[in-house]
Amino acid sequence: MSRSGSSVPLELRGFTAGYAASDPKVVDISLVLRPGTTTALVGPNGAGKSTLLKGILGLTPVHAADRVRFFGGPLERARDRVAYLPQRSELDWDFPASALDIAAMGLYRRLGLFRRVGRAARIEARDALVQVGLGDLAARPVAELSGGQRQRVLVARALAQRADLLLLDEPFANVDEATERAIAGVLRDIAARGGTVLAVHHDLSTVREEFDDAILLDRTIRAHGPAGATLAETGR
Amino acid sequence: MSAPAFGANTQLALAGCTVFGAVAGAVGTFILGRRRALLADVAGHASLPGVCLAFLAGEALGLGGRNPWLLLAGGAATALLAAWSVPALSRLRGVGSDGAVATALAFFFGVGAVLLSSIQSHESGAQGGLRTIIFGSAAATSRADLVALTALAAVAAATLALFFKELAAISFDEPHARVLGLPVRAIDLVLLALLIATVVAGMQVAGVVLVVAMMITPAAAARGFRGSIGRIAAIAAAIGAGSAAAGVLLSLRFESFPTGSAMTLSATACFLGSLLLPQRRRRGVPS
Amino acid sequence: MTDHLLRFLAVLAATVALASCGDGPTPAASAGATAKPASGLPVIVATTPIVADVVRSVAGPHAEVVTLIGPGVDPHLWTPTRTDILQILDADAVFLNGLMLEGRIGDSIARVESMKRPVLRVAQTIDRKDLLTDPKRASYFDPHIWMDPVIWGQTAAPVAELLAGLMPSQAETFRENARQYKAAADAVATECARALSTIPRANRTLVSAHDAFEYYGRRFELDVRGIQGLSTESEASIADIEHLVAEITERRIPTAFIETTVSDRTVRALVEGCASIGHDLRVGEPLYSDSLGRPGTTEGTWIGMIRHNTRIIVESLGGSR
Repeated sequence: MSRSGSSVPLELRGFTAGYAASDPKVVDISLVLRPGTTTALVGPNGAGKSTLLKGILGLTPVHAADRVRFFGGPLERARDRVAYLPQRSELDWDFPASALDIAAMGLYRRLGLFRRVGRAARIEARDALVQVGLGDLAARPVAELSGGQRQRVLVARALAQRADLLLLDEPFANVDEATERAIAGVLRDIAARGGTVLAVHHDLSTVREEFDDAILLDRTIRAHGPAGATLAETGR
Repeated sequence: MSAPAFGANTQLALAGCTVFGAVAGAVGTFILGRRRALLADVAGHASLPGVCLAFLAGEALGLGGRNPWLLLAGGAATALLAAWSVPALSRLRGVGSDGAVATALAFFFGVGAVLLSSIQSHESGAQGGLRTIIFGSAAATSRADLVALTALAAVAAATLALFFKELAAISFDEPHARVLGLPVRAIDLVLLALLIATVVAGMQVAGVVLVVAMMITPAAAARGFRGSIGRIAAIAAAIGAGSAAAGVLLSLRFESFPTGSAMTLSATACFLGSLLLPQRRRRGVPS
Repeated sequence: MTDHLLRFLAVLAATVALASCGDGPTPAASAGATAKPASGLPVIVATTPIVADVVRSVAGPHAEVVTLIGPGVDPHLWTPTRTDILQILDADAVFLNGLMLEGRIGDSIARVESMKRPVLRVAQTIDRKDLLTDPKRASYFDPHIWMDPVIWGQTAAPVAELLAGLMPSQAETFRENARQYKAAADAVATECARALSTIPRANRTLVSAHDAFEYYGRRFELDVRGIQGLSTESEASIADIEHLVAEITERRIPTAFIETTVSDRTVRALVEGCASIGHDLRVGEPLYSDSLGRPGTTEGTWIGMIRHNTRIIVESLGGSR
């Protein structure tokens, strides 16, 4: 698999998106993510954090965009390197799949249409689960997992995909502190290996210890920089 | 009266219903959950106007209103149209997915009722066949029916096998599937086609009203078990087939028990039984 | 995309509206008018074509008779439309078969009776002891009385009495018409009995889609078997089909009959079942069970229908003409 193209995982310029064209949720967003970092996307309720993620991934209408670059090119050419983890509440956790089944979904594109999930793929998926600390629960139906465990499964899915850029929407909502710190640790490991993480995060108190950088969004970007400095600057 | 013989008619009914039950259970695994079950309901009911229109067209064109292939094709067409219209309707301002389902179901079934009423006054007398499509007539399964059912089931099974992982990915997390680059729209159509195929298969044996029940209930019962998606789908198919067979045998033993209802009640019994499984009681923290 | 779809649905709805108004409804129903006809004659409403037959024969040219249920429509399943109900409510008199034949007629008849208009359920004018009961449910009567010409002929007199009450000046005409109807009915009964007597003993079983011929069987000494019960509302059960297949094969019954108002699916299933045990069951021409043929044809009259059925039964079961 070629990893050509620029090393900038995400570049946006003049990005405006949202359901209503007359009153878009996010306006004129410009940002560049540094590779090998974890970034928290914070802001008040309704600030457009989810909309920004969905917009750049083509899941919500976009009204203006001078530039949307994933690793130097359009999303189409970088799909195998980009992983999206939607809000947990949007997924059908009653679907009769095991943790292993979900983790393996990261491999589906690589496997290609009409190919089964074979032994090799299942081993890869299992490794991903081990990395997030769920090795023992591989066969467990996801309906029986806790919120934190489910979040880890989604991260494992991205790991199995070997994604270089992970976009997470509210990964720590309804997750206990200990699990939150553990998952943040996994995300930092991903960054340490060269991956990039952008996560919508709601709890300002934990941003500094869990993330490298922070973006303060309230319809437009109010601040973007190293976590500690950015939050201090805006008086938080 | 002695117990009835296990003759050719029973064998045909048993085989036909079992095949249908298996397909319905397997397809139901992917239909259950997230509004899709309601979509199946819409599709089932929406086949009524299509059947009526096909009848009228058949009479007008001199093909004979009782031609079963014509009726099935008509039913499939409007079922498809209805299932396709639900997402479109839900995008209209103020409608939402609930409103879309309710509107589509009411509209299509209402149109069907109007057509049915007008066909009643039709002089040809061929409308007797229409009733069996609404309520099913498994008892009168013919060899031709069985052949058609088996062919349909084979195609459905092959389709499920080919697109299994994509169907699973989209059922669980569609946005992720889209970002990953899986062909979401195409797979949605495949699922819709499977749904329609099941409705068509069920028309003769269970009737359009009960087809949905045979798709959803075995799938819901199968969710009480643990395992991979493939294993659960197989269990759903087995429960579907078993319930259908039980329905036929119940109907054989108790004369006043219509086959369609007997199948559905058996499936419901399986579902209630599955609630007693230990796995059901252990649930993770929501979300 | 949504626009196209919604436009398509609008076209569909329009098509439906047209289809409902288009040809298909019986002349009676499409008349639609609840106004009195220009002729000034009383308007009589009859439910089935068979009931309309006796009413027309007795009334002659002195009343306008409207038939609600078209030929080829199953009266067990018929549900009146709004037009039908308006016609019932507006009629000078209403005639039905009764005994639950028009199972879904609803309460419009009760409303008419509460308005003190004349209503007659012709089947219920017959002496109870002459009626057959439902073999499966003893408290219900078998409504198919028109299959026994002698009994059906007896309905003409009560019809005449009701019409006489409505138009006293024609009372004698009505009573005379009724007498002639009864005489014709008795004559056809003798005619049929003679023809049917030529059927060999072993073949004297009439198998049909639903149990409509019990009265016919009783009058002309045939065994009768229906796949579905007295009403077509109940689904045919596998047990019934299996039992019939066994009996048909054992007794080597040659033919089963389809009916004009009922689907032939169940009869075809019988054929397949018999074939699997090596018995070649043939399917006879359709019999008129709950209705008549098209108006204007011989089979469009009750007497023509009885003759038609008898001819087919005699030929198919090995009798001679």
